[in-house]
Amino acid sequence: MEVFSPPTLRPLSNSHEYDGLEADVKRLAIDLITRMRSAERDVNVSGAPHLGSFTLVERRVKADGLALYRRGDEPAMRYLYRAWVGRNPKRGLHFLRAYLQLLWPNSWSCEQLWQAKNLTYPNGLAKESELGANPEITHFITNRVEVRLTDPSITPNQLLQVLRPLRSTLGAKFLLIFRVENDARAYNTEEAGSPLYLYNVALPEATVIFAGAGTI
Amino acid sequence: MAGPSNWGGSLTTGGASPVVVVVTGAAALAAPGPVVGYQPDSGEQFTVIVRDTHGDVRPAPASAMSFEYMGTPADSQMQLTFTALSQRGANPIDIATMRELVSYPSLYDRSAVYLGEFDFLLRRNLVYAYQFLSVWNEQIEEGVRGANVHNINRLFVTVVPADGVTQESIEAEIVRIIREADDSMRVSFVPRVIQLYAVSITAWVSVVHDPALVEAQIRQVLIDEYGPGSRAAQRGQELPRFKVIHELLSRKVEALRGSEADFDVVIPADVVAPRPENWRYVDNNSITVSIQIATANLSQFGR
Repeated sequence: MEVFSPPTLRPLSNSHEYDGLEADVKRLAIDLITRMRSAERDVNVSGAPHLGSFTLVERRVKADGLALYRRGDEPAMRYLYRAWVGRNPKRGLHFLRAYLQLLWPNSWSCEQLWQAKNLTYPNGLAKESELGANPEITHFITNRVEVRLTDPSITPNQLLQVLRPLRSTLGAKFLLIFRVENDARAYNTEEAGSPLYLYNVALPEATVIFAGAGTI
Repeated sequence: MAGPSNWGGSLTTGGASPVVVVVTGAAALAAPGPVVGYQPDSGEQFTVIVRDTHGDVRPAPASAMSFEYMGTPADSQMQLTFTALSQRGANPIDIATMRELVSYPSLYDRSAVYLGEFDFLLRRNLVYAYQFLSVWNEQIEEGVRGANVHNINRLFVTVVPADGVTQESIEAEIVRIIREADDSMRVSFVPRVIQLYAVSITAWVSVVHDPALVEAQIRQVLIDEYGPGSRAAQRGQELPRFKVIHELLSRKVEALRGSEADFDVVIPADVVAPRPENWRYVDNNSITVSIQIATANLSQFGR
């Protein structure tokens, strides 16, 4: 989504001036609008803030309750804000998928997990794709959503920063788990016994959560 | 008749306050013969439950009540006595509460899906009924108390009722509200735990002010704004905003207004990690104030 430059006042400046008065009025109008242009641009799109300056987007994103993570190009961020306000089903994983595609294109997968009936929750979780044709015989579905990331550029600190924004786009009943598999180093946020504790509590350091193989 | 969401108090529009009569005890519409009705014996007792009021109505216990109008002269032989208050009514919302309610994101369309929307739903419907309310979900609960299969599809609520409201009635109301919004979510109540904020303030004021008085004023400002009955303490899982404290003290304490005055606010990090059921406020014991003589202005003009 590109941001358009403000319309020029060429139609006005090309219009005919009958006498000096008209020339003065025309010059005054052009001068006034040119001075107000930067402020007028944001006011002009206040009903569709994804079209305005990025400062406007930042302000409105906070007011509309979307935690927009700064990554990816600006048009993609504007698109996500537009999707949040305009076409957000709220339920399910649709918005989470859109968000993940914005952050790490084509290097993620996102599934709801099933729990084996004969094992204790939360051990015994399995993805639906790993189960057979009739998973409900041996498993029941839980509200845990596992996001598997394979982008090689992901660092633990980056993931830590993006956990809360991603979690806030899911409904209240869901649980979000991350599993990062890149560089032959697999670590997930369920190790070290510390699933995410959000809402204004300091998250543990990256080295504690990501207690997988290798040092960070 | 008493529809949903009347709990939050009605904006008064005048007119008769409707009374829903729920008659318990020996009321039966048994009709032997052509007469439909019930003839009570003399001295028989009935229980009447009033569900709608206009505003915050709290009759004194055992005070006399009366019908609004008499149908027949025989009605005056009924004696009505007020026995118990389970939920008091509420006055119309004041501006400060309204400001807070409209500060929520406009994404909410009366269909609660996100945790913040459930939080707004409860606060909107329980205005003035609680002193403290905190709502959280399975993800947060798992971070505090570990995973449990009973947490699936469950919302956790800690509520401290306000004056005039019983714990059972507000819990029943919360269950009803959440069930109306999403009846796949179950509710679990967690008892509240008080965790005070330790605030430490050092103030430099001009020598003309009485240090004891300045300290008393600073304490009063903090307790008014962050004490147990305040609006700021009503929410769970919050952090104090330093800039609010700075602005408040600068504005409300006379001694801190001049250009020679300065102050520092320190809220040390918590020793015990705060939990969602923690009711956090500021108490006289948790505030430490230290008043120093200002040396900010070295012009030696007797400040």
